[in-house]
Amino acid sequence: MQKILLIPFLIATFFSNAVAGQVLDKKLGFSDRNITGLVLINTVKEQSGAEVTYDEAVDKVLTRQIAVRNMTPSVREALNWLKADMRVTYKNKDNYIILTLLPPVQKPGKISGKIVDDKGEPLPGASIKIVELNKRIQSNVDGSYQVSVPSGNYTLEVSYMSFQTKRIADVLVKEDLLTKLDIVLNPATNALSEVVVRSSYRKESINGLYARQKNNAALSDGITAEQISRSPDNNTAQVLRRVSGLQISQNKYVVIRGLSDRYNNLLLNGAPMPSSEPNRRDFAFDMVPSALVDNIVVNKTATPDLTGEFTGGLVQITTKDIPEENFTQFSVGSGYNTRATGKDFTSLGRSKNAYLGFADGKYDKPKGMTFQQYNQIVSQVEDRQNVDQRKQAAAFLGTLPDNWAMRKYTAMPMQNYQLSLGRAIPIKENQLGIIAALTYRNEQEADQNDRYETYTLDYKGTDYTFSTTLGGSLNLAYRFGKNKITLKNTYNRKFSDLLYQFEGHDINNSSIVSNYSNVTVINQLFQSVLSGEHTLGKRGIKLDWQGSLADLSRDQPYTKIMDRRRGDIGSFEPEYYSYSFSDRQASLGSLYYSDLKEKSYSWATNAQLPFKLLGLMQSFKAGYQGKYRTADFGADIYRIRSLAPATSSPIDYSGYAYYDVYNPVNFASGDLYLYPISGSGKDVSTSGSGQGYKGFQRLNAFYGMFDLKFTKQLRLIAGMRAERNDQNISGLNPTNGKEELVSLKKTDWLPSANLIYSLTDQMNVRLAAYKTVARPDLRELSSFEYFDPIIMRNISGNNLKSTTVENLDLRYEFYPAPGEIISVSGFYKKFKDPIELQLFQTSGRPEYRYVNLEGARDIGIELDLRKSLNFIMPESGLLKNIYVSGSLTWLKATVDLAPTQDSTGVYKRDRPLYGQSPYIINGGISYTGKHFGINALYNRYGKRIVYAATAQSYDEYERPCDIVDLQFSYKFLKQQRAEVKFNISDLLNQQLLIYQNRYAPGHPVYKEGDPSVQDAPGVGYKLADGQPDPEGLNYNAGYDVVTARRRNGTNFSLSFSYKF
Amino acid sequence: MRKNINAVLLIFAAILTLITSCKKVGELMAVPSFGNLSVKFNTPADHKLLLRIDGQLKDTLKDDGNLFQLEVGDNKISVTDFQGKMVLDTTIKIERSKTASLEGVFTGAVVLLDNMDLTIKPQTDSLLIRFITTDPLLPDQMDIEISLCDFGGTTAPLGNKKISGIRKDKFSAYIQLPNPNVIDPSFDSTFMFYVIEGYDATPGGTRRKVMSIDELSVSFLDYRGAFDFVWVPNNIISFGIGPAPEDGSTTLRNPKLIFQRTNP
Repeated sequence: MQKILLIPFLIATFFSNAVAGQVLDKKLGFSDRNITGLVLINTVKEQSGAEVTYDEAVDKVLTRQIAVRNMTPSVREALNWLKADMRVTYKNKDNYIILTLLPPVQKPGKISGKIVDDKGEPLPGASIKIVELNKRIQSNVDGSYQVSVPSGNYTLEVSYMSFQTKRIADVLVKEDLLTKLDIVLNPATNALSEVVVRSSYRKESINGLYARQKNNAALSDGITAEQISRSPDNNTAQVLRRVSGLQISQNKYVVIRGLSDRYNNLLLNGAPMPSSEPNRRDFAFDMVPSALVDNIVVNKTATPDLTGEFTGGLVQITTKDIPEENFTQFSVGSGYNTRATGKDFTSLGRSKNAYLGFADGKYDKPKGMTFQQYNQIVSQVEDRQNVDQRKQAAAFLGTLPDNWAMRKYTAMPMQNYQLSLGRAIPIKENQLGIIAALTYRNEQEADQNDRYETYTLDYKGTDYTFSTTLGGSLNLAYRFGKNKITLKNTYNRKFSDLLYQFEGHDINNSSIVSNYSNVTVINQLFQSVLSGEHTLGKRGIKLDWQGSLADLSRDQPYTKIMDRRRGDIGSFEPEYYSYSFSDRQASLGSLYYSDLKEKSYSWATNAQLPFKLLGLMQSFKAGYQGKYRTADFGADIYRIRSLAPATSSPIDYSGYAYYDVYNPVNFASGDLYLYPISGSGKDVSTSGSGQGYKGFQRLNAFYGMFDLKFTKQLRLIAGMRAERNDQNISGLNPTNGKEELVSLKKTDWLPSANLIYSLTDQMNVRLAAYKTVARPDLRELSSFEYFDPIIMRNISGNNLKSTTVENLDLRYEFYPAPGEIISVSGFYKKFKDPIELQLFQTSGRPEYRYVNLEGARDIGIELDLRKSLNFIMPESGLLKNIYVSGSLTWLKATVDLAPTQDSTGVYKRDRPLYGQSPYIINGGISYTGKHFGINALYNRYGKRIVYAATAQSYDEYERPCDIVDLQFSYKFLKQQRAEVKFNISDLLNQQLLIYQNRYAPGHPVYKEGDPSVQDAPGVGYKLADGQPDPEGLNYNAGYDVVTARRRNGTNFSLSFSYKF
Repeated sequence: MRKNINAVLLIFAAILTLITSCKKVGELMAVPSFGNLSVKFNTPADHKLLLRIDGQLKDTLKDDGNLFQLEVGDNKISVTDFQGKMVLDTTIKIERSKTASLEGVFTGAVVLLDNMDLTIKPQTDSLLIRFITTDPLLPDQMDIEISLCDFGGTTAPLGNKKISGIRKDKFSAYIQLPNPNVIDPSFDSTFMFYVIEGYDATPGGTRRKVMSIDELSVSFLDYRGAFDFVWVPNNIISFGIGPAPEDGSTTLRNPKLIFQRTNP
């Protein structure tokens, strides 16, 4: 019976399928290649006779465009296009075609993070099991892990030899999103080896964050890529201003705990960086775009595995590496400066490649011979009889580029572009990471720069600066097993063209000047670091190594000082100028070329051996670091002088337009020539100027350190570091003109100990004692006299000794919640032979010299706060996302002076070392919502000693300024891939004043230049009775003379970024 | 992926266009070049004059001269008395770093200027001379005849050396006078000198001879002033026919070289 019933059904089915098959095989004809899905369905209906049904969801999809691959497809082919393009599938029954929409394909999510021990040390090779999927992976050599899973709720089980296994529940993974989870494992005692610790995602993610911020061996502060991306900052100098205890001087140099340049150090991707400046041991952080930075850590106390050459702080910049997820991101921004944008902008003829960051022929040296060859004939040029030498010199100098005339531009808005991409490419079980980034930035600024020197000059001026910055990085990393090899390459280039245009009264020479200095600097920095990290054996011995090359060049071509002057006020026509071409003063018309090339090679290896003691994990670390660095600085300074023709006097250029005087035509005709001088105006041909220097540094360092836990609460990181330093520098001595070799060889033994007592899971007390060193830079050892064409002062080096510093730090830190901190620190630093740049009064202009002081002491307090406002109303979503932050550094300092460094006879002053401030205040409030964010920052530092002198009244101080920055951001589009940021930088735009404690002109009682403070007890003058502030604690407008006024303007910028 | 690459390329192209389209060459900020103007006026003791340049008052003219720095090019110079009466209105071309000279004589009524046109030059072995009458007793207009004469009284008339219409308010046109020994090689220029005779040429006048050799009322020419009869090459003279000395020592009209210079 059943069979009887089945047969007709099978027959019916066969026929219906046959009919259906016939429908699907029918041919269709399309006349258009671009049609909607609806048109396709209608064509199927009309041309095949089939009935087609579908629901509302399909109806919506069919309105989209579909690509016709073949103008005469079968019905089956056409319906398959729908499946491929619109995820619409079909069923065919009895000539009825039923369309249905397939469910969307789910993309997996990711879980990613780091496995660390209770000291924050990464654990490579830890096993991570996704319980629900029975999937198992291992952590990488740096403790990181990443796993792709379908969306869902998971439990992770993490185990590592000698550590308690941890099971973490409720790890929620969403489609195509990353779930961050750092996991802390605790060492297992024998009794507890089988115990599995249970935790939740929420609890563990908090533990992970604590572990990373609370367990650093050294006292440090830092900032991550995510925090950088939230800030309005475009370069690293701006980013560093947000780190506790840091301030930035001249928009590019970092001051840590009030200590400037020489007492700080920089590691880029773990490798030391050379100084970017020819006349100081410092690094211009504005060269490194913030987009390339992954994180910045500033160490404030030393451990033996770090270089011993820092006292204020060690800035460690790490650029991006293997990305957690693939990305392509571009950002475009523009900005408005209130002093410059849209206004007249004065410059000399600009390189046609200036916007691309390159110079052109306008900066060329003269052709036909070298300056060295020219210097050999120049002494004969003045003799009228030496006609041939005169002709040679004229032919050479006549090829100088004609670029002395000032031109008017309109300052363009700031332009900023960034493109970065990251790829993580799995290769079997290994991973290759590629990060590439390109950045471009152009800025045009017009900053006020007024200068006054008692009895000397009174100038009003503007710094017109055009700068283009290019940056690129290509980082490759390969992770295999418990190993990781990384090659990081960074290139930065900055083209900066500064025209300092100034007018005013040259009091010294009773004349009015209308001059400029033009300085173009092209900085290039290339660094390549090859490094490896390996974990060996079951005990987890960690081995890392590194080799790096850094190549830095600073080219300062065709620097020009144009001087023209007329008689004292009211004597002459306002634009009638005369010229002086007879002496050796560079400030009265000169040319200057300089070129610094530095190469630095470094290599290092470290091994860390973990072991168990007292039932706790301990470690011993030892390593070697080597560095070889060369520096070659050449400078050619020439005074422009006039030459008397064979039978008459030199041309009197009075009344000439300046660009008809400073003109290659006059060099070609032999009426003007270049006379080589030193920075201080000495005659090169007779006494030697020191036209540069050459030097090298060899440094070999060994260290050994223990990281010991005596109890769960008490940890000690202690050891010894030995650094053998050998510096040699050669140059011409400016006094006797002879070649001199200065050598500095010394072995420094640098012990350090960091004791950490963990009061609770959220509190630490840290005590650190360590010795550090600050070595003079190669340039400072040399007697070379550097001439600064903007301040027109001479800066010379000396035969300096290394500074040794004994440091003591005590800090209490409290982490109320992840990402929050409240800390109080005290520090004491005792300097022996500190190096300082001092201002010396000479018979001519004042000049600066690097000198060793006898000693100095700093006692400081630091407060640091970062806290969410959720404590006011814990259930408030708004307050949870509002953070207040602030830091205060207060410093009391004294210096001990040698008799030659102090004119008051006291030899001890209650003042900081040069560059230091007595206090630094940072404050901020931020809100970060899902879409909208706002960030306000405040910064103020106490009066900073810019240059020290032999008496307090000659010291130059910078008046405190208040700086307020604001940022508004809005994220939008799918997954907030797009972001708009609006930044206001330096909203208050306060004027920066540099002043001395000396009376200004016009005081009714005291004559100009008299001290307005008591330089020292018992000095031979008396201040007026009742004079406020006899100690010169603050700037007093009625008493103190202002030597410089600067104002940079407020910057408003808007940027848009999109992540593909 | 391809879409991303296309988007990135498009962005690059747009950025490159933006950067390369920025202005590369600025506008020259021109500044003037200057020359000097030396002004020296002889004025009667009770007359002070003011000098204006391009309408702007610059200074009172000093007896020992004034020096001004002026922009290169044509500068409009005007001189007024303290009552604002214009006595001179002229344009002077200033060249870079050179000193132009404006020398004049204010008679109380008019300003007489030296002609500083450096293109005016006498022929070789000649001088250029122009005349004005400064003796109030002489007619307002005169015609003059120039002759050569030696100290012995021998006269050599020069038929072509005559100028009509010598006035009291402006100089006559230039006339060229050769070195006497060019006229006759036997003439010694240190002993032969030019004398000027004059006739009343006032319109409707009598054509009376008012300056005569016979009456010793002529004026005569020396080459530098101070009775220097040594021939001066390239000499350009603005000659004032003045009165005889007030002391009555002679009836001859002494030569008055209002301006005398040599052109290079």
